[in-house]
Amino acid sequence: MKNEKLALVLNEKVEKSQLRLTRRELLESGLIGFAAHAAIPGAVASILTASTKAYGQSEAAMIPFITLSLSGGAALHGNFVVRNSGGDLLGSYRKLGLGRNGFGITNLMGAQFASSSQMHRGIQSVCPTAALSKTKLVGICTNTANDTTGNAATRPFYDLSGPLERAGLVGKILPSAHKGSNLENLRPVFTSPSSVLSVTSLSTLTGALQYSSALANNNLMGSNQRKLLSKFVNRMTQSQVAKLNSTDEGVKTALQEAGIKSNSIIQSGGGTDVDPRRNVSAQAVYGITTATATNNDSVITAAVVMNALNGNISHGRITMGGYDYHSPGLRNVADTKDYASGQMIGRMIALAHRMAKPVFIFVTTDGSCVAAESESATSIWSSDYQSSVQFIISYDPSGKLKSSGSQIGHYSADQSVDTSTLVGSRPDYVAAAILANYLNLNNKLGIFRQLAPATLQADDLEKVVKLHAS
Amino acid sequence: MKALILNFLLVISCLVTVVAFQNCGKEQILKQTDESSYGAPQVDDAAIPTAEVAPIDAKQTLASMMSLVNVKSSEINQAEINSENNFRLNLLVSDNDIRSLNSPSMIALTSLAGTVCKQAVAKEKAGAKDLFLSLDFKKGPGANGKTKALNVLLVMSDRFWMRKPSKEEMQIFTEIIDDYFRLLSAAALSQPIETDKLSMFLCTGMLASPDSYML
Repeated sequence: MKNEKLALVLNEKVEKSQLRLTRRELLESGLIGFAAHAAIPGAVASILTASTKAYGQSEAAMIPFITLSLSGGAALHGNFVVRNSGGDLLGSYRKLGLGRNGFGITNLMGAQFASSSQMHRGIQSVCPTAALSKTKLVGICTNTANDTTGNAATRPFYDLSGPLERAGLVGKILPSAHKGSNLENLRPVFTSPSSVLSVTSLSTLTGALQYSSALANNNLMGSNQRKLLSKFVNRMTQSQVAKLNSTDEGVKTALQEAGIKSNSIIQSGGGTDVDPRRNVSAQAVYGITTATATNNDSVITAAVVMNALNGNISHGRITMGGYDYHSPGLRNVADTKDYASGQMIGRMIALAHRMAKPVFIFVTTDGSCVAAESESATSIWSSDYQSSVQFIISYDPSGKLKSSGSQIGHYSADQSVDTSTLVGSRPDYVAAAILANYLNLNNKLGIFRQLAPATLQADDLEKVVKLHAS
Repeated sequence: MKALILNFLLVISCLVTVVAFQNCGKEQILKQTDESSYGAPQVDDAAIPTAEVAPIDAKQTLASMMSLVNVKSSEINQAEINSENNFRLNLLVSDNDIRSLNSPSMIALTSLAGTVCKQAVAKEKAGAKDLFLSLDFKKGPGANGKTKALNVLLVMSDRFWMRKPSKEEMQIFTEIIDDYFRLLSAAALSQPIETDKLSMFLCTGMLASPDSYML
C-alpha cells in the first residue's frame, strides 16, 4: 500500500469507507483484523508450518460418529444397571429409580438394562436383533453439572467435533451437522470444529450445496451460466492455489480438491445423495417417502444420521430436548422420553445395519435425576442429580466388535458416582475416554495424546478402553 | 501509545508492501481491437506475490468483498447481502484456518460474492463507473465485445489481487469469456440486461478466486 494511502486510512478524520481499499490493504493496516482477533500473517505462518491439522486425514475412512445429546439430564441409571467397583450390583437402587435390588435384568449390546427400562424397549422396538448382536454398549459413570441455568459455565465439555476433525473424520462434502442446536447444552472439548451446520430442514443441507440469492435458480443467471461460473472459480482456484507459497503440500492438495469437489457439486445440480427420502434404507427405518416434507422431523433426523453414515458430513449431532423430566415428576412422562431416546438410538443402529456401515454413537446428557426413595421401580424422579451415566455404543457389521467390559468408573454403595475414578469427576477425562475408545476402533490410538493432551496417560488408557475392533 | 502503534503498523505495512507487492498499481487496460481477439496483454508470472495465505472469517469475508468492489451499505441493498451472509455464515471459514476451507465454503464464498457483485453492478449502472468502466450497460454483450469483458477482468486483477494476471490466468480469462459468449443466443447478445449478467459473472468469478479472499 502506498504510504500516503495508509496515512489516510489511519487518519481518523477520513471516513474509512470513502477510501477504496483492497483486502490486502485492510489487512495490512489492521482495519479488518477486528472480526477474527487474529494477526493474519503470524497465524498463517504457524498454520502452514505445522505438520497437518487432521492427523489421520489421508488414511482410510473413519467410523461414522454420531452424538445424541439428551438435554436436561436424563436418568440413564434408571435404565442401564450401574455396578460398584467390584462389578457387582449395588445393595439398593432406590435413589436410581429401580427400587430395591432384585429387579429383572435384560442383556442387550453386551450390557445390562433393567427389564423395566423403557430405553431398551425403545431400542428393540425399531432395531433388529441381528443388528443388536453386533453392537456393544459401555456406560461411563461420572458426575456432571446438571441443567440448572446457574451451572451453564460448568456444563459438560462433551462436543467432540474438534478432535474428531483432527483425527481425520472429515465430511466428503459437508462439515458437521447438528439437529436441535437450539436445545444444545454441550461445549466443545479440546479444540473447536471448523464449522457446524445447524440443520433445521433438509434444505439446510441441500442449500449448502447450491448457489443462492443472486445466483439462485430463479434469479439472474441460467443453469449453464452458473455452471460456467463454477468452472471459472475452480480453474482460478487450481491455478492460484498451485502458486501458494505454502510449506504444506497437503494444504494445497486439500484446497484444490475442495475446488474440484465444489465444481462437481454445482455441475451435478447440487448434492444428489444427501436426501434420505430417496434412500430405500432410510425410508424403511424412518418411515419416510419421497413426498415427506423437507422440514419433517423424521426427515431431518434421517438426513443427519444417513449423511453421517455415508460420510457426507463429518460428525452427526442430534439433540433431543425434554429430559429435565423430574418435574412434574410423573414417571410415565419420563418413561416416554426414555422410550423415544431408545428408538432414536435403535434407528441409528438399524440404519447402519441396513447400509452395512459401522457407527460409533455417543449418548450424553447433562446430569440426571434422583428418584423419590422407594422400593418400587416406578418411583417418580424427584430432583436433579449430578451422578450420571453417559453411553458409548458401537456397531460393526462384520460382527467382530468386542468389549472388555460394559462400564467405566462405577457407583458407590450410597448410589452416587465414585468421583475418585479416572472419569468420576473430570469432564475432560470423560471426553478423553470416549475419544480413546473411538480411536482404538479406528486403529489410531497412537494419535490420542495429540488430540487430548494433558489428560489420560498410557496406563490410564488401558483402564478406559473397552471397545476393540477384533 | 496510539501514535506508536500506528507508526509500527505503518512500518510493517510498508515493509510487507515493498517485499510482496512491488508490481502493484500498474493498471493494464487493454486497447480494444475487435470482438474476436484480445490483443497481446503484458503478463508476468514473476509478479505473483509469494506471501503466505489465510482465508478469512465470515465477517472479514463480507467486509473484504464489499471493500474490493467499493460499495458502502448506504449505496446498496444491504438487506439482500445480509440475508445471504446469514444463510452462509456457518459455511464460511470461521477461524482464520486455511484447512477449514472446504467445498461448501467455496460454494458459500461464490454465492456471497454473487450477491455483493449484483449490488456493485447496480451501483455502477446508476452512477459513476469504476470496475466496469469499459462496459456500456446500455448495450448488449455483443456490442460491448469480448475485449471489453477482458478489460473488466484486468481491472479486477489489479484491484482484487494487486498484481497482473499470470499467463495461465490470462488463458483462463480468454477461454471463460469465449465460453460465456458461446452460451448467449443472438438475441441475448443484443440485450442490455445481458451485459448486467455478464458483469455479475465476471465480478463473481474474480471475487471468489483465492487471491481475492486470501492474503
